Amino acid sequence: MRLAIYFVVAAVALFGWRFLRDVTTKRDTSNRPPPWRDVRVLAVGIQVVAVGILFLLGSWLWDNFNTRTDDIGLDPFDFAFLDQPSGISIADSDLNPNSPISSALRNGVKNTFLTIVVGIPLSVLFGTLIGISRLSENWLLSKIATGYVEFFRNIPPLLIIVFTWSVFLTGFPPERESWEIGDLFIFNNKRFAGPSIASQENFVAYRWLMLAALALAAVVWVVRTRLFDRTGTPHRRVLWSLGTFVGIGVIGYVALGQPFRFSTPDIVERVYEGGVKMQMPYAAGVFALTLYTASHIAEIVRGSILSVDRGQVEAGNALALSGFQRYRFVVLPQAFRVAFPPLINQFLNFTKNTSLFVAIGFAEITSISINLFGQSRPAPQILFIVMGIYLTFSLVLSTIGNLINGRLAIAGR
Amino acid sequence: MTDATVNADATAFAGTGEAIIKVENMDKFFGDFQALKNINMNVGHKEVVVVIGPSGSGKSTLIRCINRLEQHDAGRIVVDGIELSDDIRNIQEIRKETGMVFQSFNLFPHLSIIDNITLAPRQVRRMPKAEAEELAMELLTRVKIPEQAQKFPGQLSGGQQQRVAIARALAMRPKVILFDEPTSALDPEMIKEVLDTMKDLANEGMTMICVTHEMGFAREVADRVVFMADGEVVEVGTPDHFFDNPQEARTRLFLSQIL
Repeated sequence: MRLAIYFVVAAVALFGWRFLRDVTTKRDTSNRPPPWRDVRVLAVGIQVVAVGILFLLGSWLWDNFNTRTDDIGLDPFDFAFLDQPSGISIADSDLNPNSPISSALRNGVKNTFLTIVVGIPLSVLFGTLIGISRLSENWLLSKIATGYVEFFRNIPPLLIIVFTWSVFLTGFPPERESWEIGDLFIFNNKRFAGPSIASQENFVAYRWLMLAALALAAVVWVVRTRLFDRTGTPHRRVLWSLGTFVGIGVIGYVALGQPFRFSTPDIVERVYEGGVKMQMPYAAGVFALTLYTASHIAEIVRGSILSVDRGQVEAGNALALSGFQRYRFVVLPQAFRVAFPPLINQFLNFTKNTSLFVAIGFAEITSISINLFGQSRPAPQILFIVMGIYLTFSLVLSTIGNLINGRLAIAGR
Repeated sequence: MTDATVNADATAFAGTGEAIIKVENMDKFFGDFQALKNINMNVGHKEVVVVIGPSGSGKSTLIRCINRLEQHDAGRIVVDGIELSDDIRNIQEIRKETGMVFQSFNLFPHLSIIDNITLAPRQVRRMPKAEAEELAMELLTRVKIPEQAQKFPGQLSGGQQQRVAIARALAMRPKVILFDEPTSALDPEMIKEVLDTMKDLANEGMTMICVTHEMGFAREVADRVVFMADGEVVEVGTPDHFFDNPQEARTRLFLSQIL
């Protein structure tokens, strides 16, 4: 019955639309086909039908959802539970089971973010190297790269993650027998730790100073480049910029009375002191997912380099460009344009695949939400939030990607 | 020039002094196929040599061997006193001295016209940007399209692109320019503008080897015409000798088909 009404409404709207169009455009209507053969009407009609079907399906699902949540007495838009204690503890955080759920979720977002910012650049770097290696004229190198790609791209990422984790778990010693490299690094099957910078008095001021030094170094870089462009004086811009930065750093260090010290990690009574530490599952997960994603990126890089016309390489050769210059100025800028859209895809895949870390107990957002389900927290709301978070990550990534992609487009093509 | 036999010797060059390009007993194979058979050829300073012949005769391969876009399998190639060997430094030195213009232009589509021209002088010759751009504008004026400097290759017509390619080759200040069928990919109305540019170059005393099917150009500009077929030099001569009084049957057949 409802369907019939929708149909009639759609038909009336369609005829009305055609009538209105005829009136407003004063088109000649004498020689017009009947509406079911009019391509313009058909084109609009198909879209109306598609939207209608989508709408019906959505409203059916929504009704189902509401009926079920009503049955169990749940308000799917009640987010007050976020302030209740989470009941879960998260490794290497200040949170305890009494901390609110919102804090736990926030910590999950932070952890997911940490996997992305480290994992995606590593994947790109490693994948590019493998991709170029596959094209190498060195037989051994190219075969190793091919073997690598074929191995990792044909195994489910979950398997790689769990396998890497178990290798780390059995390969590294237990905490009591940690491997230590000097005083600087500690490796065991729970955590890895390394040296870091610890703040002392005036550290905030020093940080601002160094930020300014970085900006100044950039200015020096540009000035030296411009000078070279104009007069041909050797620019030595790396030396100049680095000199500026380090010089200010040293002077500032002395003037502000040692604002920082180097801090080395140490385990005292099972507690890590000083340095920076990461959980073994984090290291294993990022490592595994990087291996997996790099195998896909390698193929993208290889394909996009092959897509650059051979004549471009020949033109570069004929102009006496060196192998590096040819890659840097001719081949890679063109290959990168081709590679970029599928690369964005891989960034998104990496982001989504971090949810698999739930299997090795790293507290990223998915594993936290699953833990919360275990505490009988309302699943619909948490799922909404988690989906929203992944969607945000993905949209931010692809927006950045599309902006860059737009800037890369070749004029006149 | 007297009777030329098959696999003629093209070593006698116009002008005096040392030949700038020497090719001695050169062979080139693609797999089992012999593309060039015992080629002997010299090119003198400021000489314009036009290489003609049916497709598949090895003319393009010949000039591509001279700057190592193809590797020759036997014999010697010496450019401006530098022997072309497996030494990367020699290869680079020779490439600096020999410009090349391709049939399909091969401009860099991601760089503006001026950047196309300045890339090699700046990176290879370490020329300051300002000087390189000045040089580029001078060359663009010479090929009569200075107003296109900031555009991209895709925005230019074929004839304009090929003239940019010539300017790009000239920017390295080469001693020789190799032309590999520079007008074959052009629409008929654009051929003239490119040929005119090449004629200007020849008149200014540039040493050139041109592989081309433009017989009018060969007749007007060439000091010597080299006719190749099946990987061999069949006949060599001045344009007058070549077009009016060819000696070899193979040459006559070819000329009768195209003229």
